[in-house]
Amino acid sequence: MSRATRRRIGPTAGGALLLVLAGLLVLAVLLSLAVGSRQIAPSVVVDALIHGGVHGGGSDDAQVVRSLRVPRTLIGVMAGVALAVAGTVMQGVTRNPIAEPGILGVSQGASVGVVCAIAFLGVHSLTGYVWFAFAGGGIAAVAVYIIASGGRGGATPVKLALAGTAMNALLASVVSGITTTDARTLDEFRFWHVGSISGRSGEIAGQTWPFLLAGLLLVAAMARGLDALALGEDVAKGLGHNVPLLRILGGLGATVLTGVAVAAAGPIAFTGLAVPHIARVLVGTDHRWVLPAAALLGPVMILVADVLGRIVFPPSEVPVAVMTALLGVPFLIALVRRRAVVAS
Amino acid sequence: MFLRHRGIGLGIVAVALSLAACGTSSGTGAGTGAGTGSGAGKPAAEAAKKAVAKGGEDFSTAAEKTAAMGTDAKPGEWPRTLTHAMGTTEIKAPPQRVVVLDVGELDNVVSLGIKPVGFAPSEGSPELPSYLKQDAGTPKHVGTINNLNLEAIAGLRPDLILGSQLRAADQYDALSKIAPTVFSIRPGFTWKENYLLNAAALDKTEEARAKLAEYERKVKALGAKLGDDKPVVSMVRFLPDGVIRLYANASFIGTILQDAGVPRPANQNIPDLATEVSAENIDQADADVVFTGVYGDPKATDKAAVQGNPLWKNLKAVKAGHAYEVPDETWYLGLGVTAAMEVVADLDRYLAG
Amino acid sequence: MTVPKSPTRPTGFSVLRAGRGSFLLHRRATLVAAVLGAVLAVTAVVYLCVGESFVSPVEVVRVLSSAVGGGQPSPDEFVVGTLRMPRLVVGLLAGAAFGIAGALIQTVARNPLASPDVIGVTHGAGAATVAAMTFGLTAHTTLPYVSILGGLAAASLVYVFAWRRGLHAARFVLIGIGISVALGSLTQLLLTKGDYLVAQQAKVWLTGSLNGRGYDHALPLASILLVLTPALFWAARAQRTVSFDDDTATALGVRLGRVRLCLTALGVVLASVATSAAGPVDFVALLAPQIARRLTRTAQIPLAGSALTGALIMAVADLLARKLFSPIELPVGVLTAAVGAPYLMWLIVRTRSRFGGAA
Repeated sequence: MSRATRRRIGPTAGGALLLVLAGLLVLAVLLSLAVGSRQIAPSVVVDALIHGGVHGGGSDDAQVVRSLRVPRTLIGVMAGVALAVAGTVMQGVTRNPIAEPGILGVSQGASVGVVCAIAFLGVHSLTGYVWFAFAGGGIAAVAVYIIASGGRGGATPVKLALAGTAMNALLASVVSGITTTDARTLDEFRFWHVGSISGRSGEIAGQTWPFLLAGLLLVAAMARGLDALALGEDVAKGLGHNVPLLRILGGLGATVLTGVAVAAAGPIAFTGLAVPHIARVLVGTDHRWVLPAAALLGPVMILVADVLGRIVFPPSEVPVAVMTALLGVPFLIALVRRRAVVAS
Repeated sequence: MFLRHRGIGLGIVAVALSLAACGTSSGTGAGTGAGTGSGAGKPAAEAAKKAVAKGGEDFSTAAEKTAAMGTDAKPGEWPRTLTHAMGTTEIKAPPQRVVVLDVGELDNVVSLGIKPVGFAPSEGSPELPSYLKQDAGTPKHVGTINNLNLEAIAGLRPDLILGSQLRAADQYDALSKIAPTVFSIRPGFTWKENYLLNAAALDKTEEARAKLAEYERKVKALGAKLGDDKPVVSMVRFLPDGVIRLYANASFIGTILQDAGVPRPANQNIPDLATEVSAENIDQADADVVFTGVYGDPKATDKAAVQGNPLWKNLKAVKAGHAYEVPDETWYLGLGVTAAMEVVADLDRYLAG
Repeated sequence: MTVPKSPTRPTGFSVLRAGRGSFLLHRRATLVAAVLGAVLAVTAVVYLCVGESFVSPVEVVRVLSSAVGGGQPSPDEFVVGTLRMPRLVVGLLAGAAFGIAGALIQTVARNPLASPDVIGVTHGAGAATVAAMTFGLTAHTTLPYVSILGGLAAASLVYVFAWRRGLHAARFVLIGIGISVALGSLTQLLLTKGDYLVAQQAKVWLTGSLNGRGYDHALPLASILLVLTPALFWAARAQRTVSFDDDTATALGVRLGRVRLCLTALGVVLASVATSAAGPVDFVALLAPQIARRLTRTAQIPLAGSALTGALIMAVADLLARKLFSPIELPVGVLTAAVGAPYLMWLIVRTRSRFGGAA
């Protein structure tokens, strides 16, 4: 991120690339619809989508696709978009290449917010506790950033990661304390402990999309501001941007998007880390291209990870968050090994 | 920068391994030297525990082995010596203060008219089962089945502890120092044998046999009432983290259905605890009648997702209105004669009523 | 009370030997060790008195002094001698091992943030142990070695990946965090695969709890500590050379790389063994050396002080864990994290290390 070279991409090449990414996303969606513990032929999948499985006589296979795999895939797509865009914005706002909702403890904060809402305040509707997800994520984000900014040198990658690790450990300890003493809460929390997109109903998608849209619009409006910030605070100021406002809006956008993802699927780490970097490699540093590219790639990563989780130990399913972490950590390592992160 | 040479990096494993190797030789030496007291039985206990877990080789013989345990003492004869899963134990006098480590043992002693002083519930349902609440008194919580609080048990000054090898083999040594401790091999499909073993420790074998006879009478009556054309019954249980089990013959509920002569679908007519299916394959749960239970909080399971699914609604049993939700605490969590008779009554209502 | 002293005595001597430079510092370090030892002894007695039932200190001392006696133990003898004492011993030994491990690795990294729990050692040990449990290996005699292998493998992985024309502390920590997350996920994966019952038992272990730990767990830990005692003597002296900068060390003819490697390996082994006995109890290895150093005000992190402080933290935390919500026990790791995580945050805010600069 702090590299001086700024690569830009032309509208034609950029458009073509986005088209390719969209094609990739379609493939990932089809994969997610076709693969699972039940074998379903691709033709049946397509038939179920287009004709509602009428030609198959409303077969069981078509029903599985429509009632189980479509909602699951839809939630995967939403979580992927939200996390990838949130990661892009966090990296832009903090000017820090390893910023992302999972590592910074924002996802855990949001999920603890949800658990508190359920356990202590008796809030049980998604539209009710999504606000607690925002609040929990926001508080965790601000706390981690303040801690990491303290001391000499400001919020460096390693301090941010450590502050996030400490935050995650603290939240885990709080949750563990609550759940050990209250078995009922443990059951509720299990749902929010490890991010997963299985078993979520299609309703969740219907209830969270307005928040997702709001977050995306907020972020889209500040794409130019993010570009300016990438050049440095002084340059951004010189270009007429209000840097503190930009940071606050960016933080708000990222928190809302993370909250949406957590409310829909629970905490999922590393998607927000890996995807923005891949997007930047593909389309350069201009956020008007990076943001849409990330929004297309995020769901691809989530869906591919989820499909892998379905096929490793059938019929048991490995939660998607476990798979994204296993896929994402090598990426973090590669990133850290590059001089960009820890240059001395 | 605190390490300079790459060669060292490759060496780290070697040095470390040699350190570990040093530790190994001396460590095991010390272990065997001091293992004369409490630790001696451990490896055997662990091997046995492994074998009786789901799918182990002793699985099919557990019932026979448990049936062979018990005592030679005559009624009213004290002290008596009991043979059980962990060896032999002498009980000096009729036990007054009994601690039970699982719901099966709870059911056993309560059905024999004893109010236990301590009880370890499972993690998923921390309270006393409602069907035993009336007669169980107010046993003190002594931790959960996987995380026993030995001090709490010791504090109750019990004179008998009942449990199973599968759940608490690790804790047997300490438990047996608190009070005479009698372990069955495992909870579940061996419930009748476990009941007689527990009853032998309490000198209530006659009462237990009477209870079992009453159960047999009821379950045979149910079988007769259902006639020759019995419906095929499928057992579905939703557990947390998306686990869905179809309970088979080597389970508590499996034995009751077998006793009633109720036929099972082919995938559940196997000598195992259960088979697992995923939400996508829930059509494999189909039969004439489906009974569902939920372990712990329904929201932590896939129940809503599965039952809101057209695949579920397409099941033969669901379409015919023959899918019933049954209390988990008796049908699936229940492991004793009281629960068994409740289940028989429920079966009667659903199948013959 | 004789067992926990074995790992600490050598380091106590080592302070004497290393203290030639300044008599004053050495006296303070010795004094601190003595005071810590006294506090630890008092804590241990309180630990043995308090629980589900209260046993008077007089009775505790009587039970301890007549521990060898045969015959049927009285209820108090049983509670103190069979239930509380083994558990206390495991806690003290594990705490001491965590404390020394943290001191060694923090010394080598010259950074308090690079503690074994931050850089993946405890997660490696944890993942290996859960893997062994999943595949049916549950014997207390073999698990510590599985755990050591796991910890060493994790540390080697972190080392290999963090190497890039030398080791940069910041990169080391970042890779460590990444590897920790990956190993945590691997553990989850194994829990998904494993039998439901095994998974339940592994989960109890994974919370970092001393409940049900006894001499079976203490023995491997004690014997490994005993075997490593000469190494600890050496380590206490080697610590000084490591704190030289590279040029000074080269001038003195010290093979710095090798010394650092050995100290790190020693730290990793200690942290892994402790994890195997007590479960992944976080932040003791981070906290203990830092507190000990502030108490002794020495230039190096004192090994004896770290061991005593680690043991003290474990004893106090487990005492609270048993008592706070009795009869339900909290895992001891919950309490150490509740104190340790904010301390880590404070360290980050206060850091004057090279993490501040371009890192």
